[in-house]
Parts: sequence; structure tokens; C-alpha cells
Amino acid sequence: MRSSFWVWLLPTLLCLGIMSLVATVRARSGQRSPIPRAVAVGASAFPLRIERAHARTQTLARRPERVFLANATVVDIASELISADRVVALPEQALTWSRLVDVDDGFRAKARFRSVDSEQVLAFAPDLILCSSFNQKFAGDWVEASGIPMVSLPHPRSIDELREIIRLLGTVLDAETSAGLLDDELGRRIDAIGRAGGARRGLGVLVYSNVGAGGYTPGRGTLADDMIRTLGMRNVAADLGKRDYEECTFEDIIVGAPDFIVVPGRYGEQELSTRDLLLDEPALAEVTAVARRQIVRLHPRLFSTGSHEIVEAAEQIAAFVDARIAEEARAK
Amino acid sequence: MRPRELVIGVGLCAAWIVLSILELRVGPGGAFPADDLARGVGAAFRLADPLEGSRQTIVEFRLWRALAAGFVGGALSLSGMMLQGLFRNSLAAPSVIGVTAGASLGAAIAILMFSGYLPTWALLTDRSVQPFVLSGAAFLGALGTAALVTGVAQLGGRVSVPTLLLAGIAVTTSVSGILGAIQSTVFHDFDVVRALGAFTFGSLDDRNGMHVSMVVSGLVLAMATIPFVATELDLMAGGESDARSLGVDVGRTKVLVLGAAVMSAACAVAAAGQIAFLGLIVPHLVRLVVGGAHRVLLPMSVLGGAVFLLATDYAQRAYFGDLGLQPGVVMSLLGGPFFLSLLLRHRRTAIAW
Repeated sequence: MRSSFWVWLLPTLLCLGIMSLVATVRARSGQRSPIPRAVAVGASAFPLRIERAHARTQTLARRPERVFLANATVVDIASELISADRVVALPEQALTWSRLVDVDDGFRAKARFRSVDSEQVLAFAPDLILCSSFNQKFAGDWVEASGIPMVSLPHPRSIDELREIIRLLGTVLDAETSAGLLDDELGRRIDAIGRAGGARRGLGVLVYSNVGAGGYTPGRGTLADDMIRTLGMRNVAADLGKRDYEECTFEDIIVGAPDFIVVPGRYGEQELSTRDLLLDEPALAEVTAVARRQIVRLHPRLFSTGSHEIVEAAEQIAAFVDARIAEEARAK
Repeated sequence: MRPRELVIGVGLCAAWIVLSILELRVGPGGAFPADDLARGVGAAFRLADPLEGSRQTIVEFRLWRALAAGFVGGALSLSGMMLQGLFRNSLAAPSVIGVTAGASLGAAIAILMFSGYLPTWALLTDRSVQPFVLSGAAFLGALGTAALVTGVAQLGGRVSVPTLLLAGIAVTTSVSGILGAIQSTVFHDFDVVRALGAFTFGSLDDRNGMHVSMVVSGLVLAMATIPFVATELDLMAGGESDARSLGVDVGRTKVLVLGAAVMSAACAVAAAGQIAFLGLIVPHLVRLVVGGAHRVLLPMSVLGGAVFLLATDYAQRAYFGDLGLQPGVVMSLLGGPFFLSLLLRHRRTAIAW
């Protein structure tokens, strides 16, 4: 009897434990990663105390001149704030996944790396590392032990967070004027998009990607969700109860019935694109966005950006949607 | 078939039908009234008028999902049962002979072609062909690795089981390395990394008639061999020499069983990705319930696999939908502890295998 009790209790507890672990991880994934704070220690701009989560602090003694940029989002913002001669290295993918696709300003000639590892970071002898929370998990402890200041930035979940990150980078890079200008321009463009958004109000948009093995969409609590609200539109994925990046089935698309779908373009010409996949799926033929071919293709770097380039994405979507609304008005 | 086995078989068939109906009731589109469901399913087979608007499409999506889940579960389980019987090894599963790894590699190559990281041949850019490319590549990958593993293990027309297992481990490890290298190379491309991940843990989302036809073909071919291998596998349980002395054509049995197991698993993995654990645990569960005769074990494993995957997929969609877990993940999370409980309960029997 006693043995039988344990035979059932142990696996049940194990099962409950596993499910609780999954639920906890899921719940915590929705929590906001803290953005570090930069506080001047004295009257001048430097030294600067960088305050991070768990009461960890580092001091940036002087204006950084050898900055290591660890990911494409950081490259996007930093390349607007400082000149290339203050950067020691940037990631290989920045050439295809950041604004350096269109802009050079001397950044393309900088040393490049494929992945962030401690030894490689230290070999560049940087005096400041700008990275994502994800990079820090890999290389952070070793680099931090070496005494090099590291500012680790979470992926922004809203435009307000993005603006906070821009201002923070302005402070740590001693480029507050450039950061202020960038922030002001971002604010101005967002206001302009919002002001012109009356006719878009209530229209549903789904941001969707699928390279043939299942679809994904950003739901509530993502930068894309905030961008859609800025446009005056409704995020169909959020309406479906999706949070963060979640799987999106064709049934989700049918039920959500988006008026517009935003998809990533691909770099080549011949590949299977998300747009083709949607247009070729007979089951989606009656979904408004598909039936009317209201599918907005964004450059892949804009589709997944976590930087101020999101406003460029928003403007492209707004231009597409507004043109369709105008066409419909003319037709009537 | 003894009355007890008959009752279990009928029970599993009933569970398959009930779970399939339950699968039709869950999804983002909400539950449909029973009448609408019946009409929608009838319309899918041109036996009734379709439901209005998108409701018919939603019912059909769920129907394909339910059918895919049942047949994929059955195919993987049958493959595992055949391999465990052939190898006389309770750890044998489709992954052991490189089938799942090969399918993943084939799918990864297709995903890289779709995403522009590999050149795409003109044929593959034809829109009418594209939907079949991913499953086709996975199928060819599975067959390719299985052929490599069995080819290495074959000498003078005889398959060495220990060499087969070792070659399977070597090929699976190599393919894992290749997949790891691919992931590292495209790590910055979230869409592609997600697509590779989706295949690794299986997906029953957005299945259609093509996927179901593919898995049914493999399953039917594998089941067709059962009358020719069931008794032979029982006799081979005591060792190959004993089986030979009893008149079993061991070489032919090995080829038939391997071919059937590979075909069944390759079609299932090509249709739904890797669903870990199923090909390993369901055969054990079935053996615990119906004993060790393969003429009963093999068909029962098809029913057991179907019920098991349908049940976990239904549980995931009905109760853990918010967690967004893939079938392979749910299978491991729930199947592991459940399997442990049965092992604890039947420890003495299990040790005796």
C-alpha cells in the first residue's frame, strides 16, 4: 500500500514540478528586464556610475574612446551618436542587419567578429562594451572581472523604453546632444504617424513571419505591439491573447482576421517568402489581408529591429495602409 | 487474439475516436456545436454542405491536425516497437538508426534554401512544388541517414545489430554537429533559428492533406509487413542462432523490419517534425499492458501511439495553450513522469525483459 502510494506520488510531484518550472519561466519571460542607469559621480560628466540590476555597479572613469559594439541594435543607435573612430569592433551581422546596410560613415571598415566570447572581446582592448542582456550571459562575467565597464541593454518592449535606452547611450558615450537630437526626431516622427492615423483606427494588423516550418507573431509586451498602437491600429496577435513572440497558426490568422499583415522580405529573390506562403495558402484566401493582398513587406532588418529604426518600419506600414485607404475612398 | 487483448484494442480504438473528436473542439476559434462539427467534417469529405465562411476552414484545419496527430503517433510508435523487437534492446527507437536526425538535417537544408542561405534550384522555386519541399527534404534526409547507418552495419548481406547501433549513434552525433554549426551560422536570423527549432520539437500546426497522406502511406507500408515479421520477431527474441535453427530467415526479417521501421518513422517525422520520446515509451507501455507477442504488440502499438500523441496534444491545447509548448516538449514533460510511474509499478516485470 505504502509502496503504491509513492509509485504514484513521486511521478505526480515530478510532473507538477516540471509544469511549475515551465509556468514560472513563462511568467518571468514577460517581466521587463531593467534598463541600467548612468549617474554622474561628481559635477562633470565623468566618472560615471553605471547601476545595473541586483545592485551591481561599475564606474566608467572617463569618456570611452574604444567602444565594442556587440549586436546590431546597439550598432544602429551608437552609429548615430558617435563617429566610427571611437569604435573598436562591431559584429559581422551589423552589415546586413543594421542601418549600416544603407549607411557607411566609416563603420564598415571597422574590425568585425562573428560571436561574442570573452577572449576576443578582451583582445580588442575596449574601454566600454555595449551589448544585449543575451551577450552578457555568455561573456559578461569574465569581461566584468577584467574591469572593463559593460552596459547591457534589454530588448525594448515599448517606444518609451527605446527612448530611455537612447538617452542612456547618449550619457555613457558622452554624446548627449546627439542622443537628444535622435530622441527628438524619433518623438517628432512618432507624433506625425499618430496624428495621421485617424483613418487607420480600428484596423487590425498582424506581424507575421514563416519560413516554411511554422509561423510566429509578436503579441502584447513587444516593441512591435507598441508600434502598431502608435499607428492607431490594433495588434491582432494581442487580441488573440498572445504575449511576447508566440507561434501563430493559420487558424489564428483566420480567427484574428487581420486587415493587413506585415511580413519580412528576404535578402534574395528566389526564396520562399512569407508573403508567397500566405498568398499560396488556399485556406487563407478569405482573410481580408490576403484576399486584398494587403501584405506589407519590410526589409528583414526593419522587421526584427529593436532600435529607433522601428519608426522607419512604422512609416512604411503607415504609407502602405494610407495608400490602400485612399484607394478605397476613391473607388467609393 | 484473446478476449483481454480484444477489449484493449477496442478500448484504444474508441479512445482514438473520442480524442479526435475532442481535438476538433479546441483551438483559437473556440468550440463549435456538435452539429456544426459533424457537418464540417462531412463537408471535408464532400458528404455535406460546408459551414459558412471561415468556419469550414477552421474545422478542416482541426481535422487534419487530429488525423496527423493520430497517424504520426501510430507510425512513430510502430517504428519504435519494431526496432526494439529487432534489436532485442529496450532503448531502441527511431532516433537510434539516425531517422530523426536525418529528417532534421533534410528539413534544415530546405529551410536554408527557403531563406536564401543556400542556392535554390529552379524546380524548387515553382510555387506548386514549394509546399512539398520541406517534408520531402525531411523524408529524403531520414531515408539517407538510415541507408547510411544500415549500409555501414551490413557485411556480406548480414546486418550486425551492435554495429548498426554504434553507426546510428555516430551518424546522429555528426548530424547534431552539422545542425549546431548551421544554427551558429544563422544565429542572427531569428526567423530561421525559430524555424529550425520548430522542426526540432515537432509541430502539428497548419497540417494539411499532404502531411496526412504522407504519414498514412508510410504507416500502411509498415503495417503491411506485420504478418510477415511478427512471429519471426518473437522467435528472434531468444537469439538469432536459435531463430535460424527454428527456420526463421533472419536476414529477410531484418531487412523487412528495418525497411518498415525506417519508412514509418521517416514519413512521420517528415510530416510533423521530431516528436521525442514517443517511439521509445509507447512500445514499453503497450508491452506492459498486452505482453510480449509481436502479432498483438505491433498493431496495438499503432493504436497506443495514436492515443498517446492525441491525448498529449489535446491536453496541451486545452489546458496549457498559454504556454505555447510544442508536441515534442509536452511529450517529454508529461510522458517522462508517467512512464516512470509505470516502471516503478511494474519494476519486476520490466527487469525481466
